[in-house]
Amino acid sequence: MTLNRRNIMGLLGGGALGSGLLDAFSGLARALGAGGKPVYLNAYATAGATPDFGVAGLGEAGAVLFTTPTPGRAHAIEPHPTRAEAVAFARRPGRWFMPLSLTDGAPGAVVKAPDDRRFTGHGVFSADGALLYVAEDDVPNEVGAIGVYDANDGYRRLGALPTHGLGPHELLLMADGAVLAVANGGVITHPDTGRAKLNLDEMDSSLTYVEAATGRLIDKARLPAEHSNLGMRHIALLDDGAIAFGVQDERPNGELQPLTGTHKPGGPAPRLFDAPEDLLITLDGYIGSVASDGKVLAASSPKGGLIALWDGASGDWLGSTKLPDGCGLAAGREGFVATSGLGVIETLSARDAAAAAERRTPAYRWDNHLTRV
Amino acid sequence: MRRRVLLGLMSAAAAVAALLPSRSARAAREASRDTAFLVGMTRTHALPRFEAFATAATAYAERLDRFAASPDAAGLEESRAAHRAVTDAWASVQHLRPGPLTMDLRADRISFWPERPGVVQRQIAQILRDRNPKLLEPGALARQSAAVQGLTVLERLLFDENVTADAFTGDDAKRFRGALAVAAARNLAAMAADSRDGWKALEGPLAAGEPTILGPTPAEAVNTLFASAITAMQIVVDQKLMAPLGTGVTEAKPAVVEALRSGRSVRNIVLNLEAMRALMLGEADGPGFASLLPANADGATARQALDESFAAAIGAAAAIPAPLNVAVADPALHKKADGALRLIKAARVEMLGTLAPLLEITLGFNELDGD
Repeated sequence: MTLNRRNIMGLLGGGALGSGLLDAFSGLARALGAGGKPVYLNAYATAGATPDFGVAGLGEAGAVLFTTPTPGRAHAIEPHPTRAEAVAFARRPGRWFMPLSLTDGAPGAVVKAPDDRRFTGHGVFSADGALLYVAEDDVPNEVGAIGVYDANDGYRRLGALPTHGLGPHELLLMADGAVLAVANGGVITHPDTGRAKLNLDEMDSSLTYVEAATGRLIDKARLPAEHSNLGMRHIALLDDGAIAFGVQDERPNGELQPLTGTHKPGGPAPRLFDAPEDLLITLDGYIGSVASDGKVLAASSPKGGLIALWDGASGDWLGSTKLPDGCGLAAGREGFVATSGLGVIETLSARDAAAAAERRTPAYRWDNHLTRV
Repeated sequence: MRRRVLLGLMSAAAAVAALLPSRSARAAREASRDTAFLVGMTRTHALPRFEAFATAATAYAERLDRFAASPDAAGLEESRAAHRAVTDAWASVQHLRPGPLTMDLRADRISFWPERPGVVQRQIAQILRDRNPKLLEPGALARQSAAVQGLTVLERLLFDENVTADAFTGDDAKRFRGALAVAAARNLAAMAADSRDGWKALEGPLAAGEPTILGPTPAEAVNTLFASAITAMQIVVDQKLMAPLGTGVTEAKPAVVEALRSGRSVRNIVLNLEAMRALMLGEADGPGFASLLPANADGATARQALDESFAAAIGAAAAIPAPLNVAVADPALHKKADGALRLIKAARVEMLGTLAPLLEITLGFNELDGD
């Protein structure tokens, strides 16, 4: 008998695989020679003028444990909540997502987007892992949607929910497991014109909260009119139930504007975080990724080569560190871990963003998002 | 609200340096060489090109003014020639993406392309139906959707099918068409002049090595310009060529070419490439990126490889004998356009694979194409 995931599940008794079992399972995987369990996942391009694309599993200290080629450039990677599996999403405009084993990186069958849909690069599992929600553009109708897939049946498409917004990008599951929060960047694109932004003059960014079971809109928040040029694209969950977000200035007008903030569903308008003027200048109107340890909001600007931290409750700026072309961000066991397009993996203090450790992997250019398994 | 460009910049470099541990991605090129390149490039490349753009746009507005006052066939042809001249000048600065063109959505307002299907047509039709005289007042069009500004609206007003001088003569609706064209051309001329003035205002701070909208240091300004040149090449490849070419002649999408109505799609690509070559290799005795190459055999080889790859790419693009919307739908010409695409991609690889490492510019991809 060949040992594969399904057999191992059978050996372990299958069913609900708790985290304890997951550790045991990973231990088994290590015993099988898979080289330990990945703690982080990041999409990459290999360095060079004609790169190869894939996703990598990284160890606690940044060691590359496995690499899995993808059909094209991948964006975010989402681990399954109970199985040793993750799903890598194609970069926008995405035509595929791909499951892979976290045991050894073995790729699963690629799932193609329906003809009239394009994935936007992010997705999230339901709390029990039965469903996968994928952010997508409903192309003919020019509205945001969430594709719903059966994670227990080869990622069969079950249907779609509306995001109630334009140009969805990142989405996450609120703590209650019943509501999806969606960052709608507000910008429309079309497959015929690739990544070109087609409505910058009348973009309409919003945070929407969508009931996962029904698609019903629970709440919708926009930034105040003077910040209508800012697109909310990346979000993270704080312990107090608020959503932390990072924005991108799609229509620079010479004004210095805040680039991070929080919003609570059902609460008042989004709160924008202040930051020193020089910091905002350096961030260059662009947050590429946000992460949270529950209390602190970390935001990266690959354009500015900078990672900055704010206190999620008070909105106080805590500190920053330089990381040229740094974008990937995840809460680590301590502090935050960041990755860069120049092949750097770095650990930062959650207190003041001071860089603690750095590892270089020059063969890889780490793409936008780092995920902790 | 705080100004991003005007305030705070004098202190920014020092403050950010103090704020942050310094760890540069690059080995240091000499700052003085970067500054010399930035100043020289601005003087011999950016400014003359933006000056030509502003001049052509002003001439267009003046020509349209005369035409709208007494429309006739000759006047329409001259106005169309003036439109083509501005399109040429625009294609010659389109690659200078960072800096003044990013302000106030200027690039989109000058040319709203690629287009969102149906939207431009719908909005312009609405304006022509409503005939709101307030839209014709100075500065009014600038506050409207980018879809109804710049070359986008002007091309439709002048080049749409069946448009003759009669379309501008006679009743209120037709006179409004002429007046709208004049207002759009004046708005375009203002944007061109503002962009030129923006580059003029950069000269001093760049010469002094001060932080600018291009970057907090000379080295980072060089990096920004190089990354944006790579992006501009990508736009030529992805949007201007691959999108209309499709996966084959039966899958071609002629309607998505740039400057469809005025038939300038191929010429724009050629002018983009010529502008890019000038930025890489220098022009009018001024420096290009190649001036930053090491003065050794590697540098000389890289310069020659770049020169040859751009010559091949430009030659192949210029040899496409019809506007791209026609070419992509014809089997033989589709192949020809595909051949040009391959050579343009090769020039881009030369920029990335040969030039960038020798300039000690390390390009991550996150800054090229954000998400």
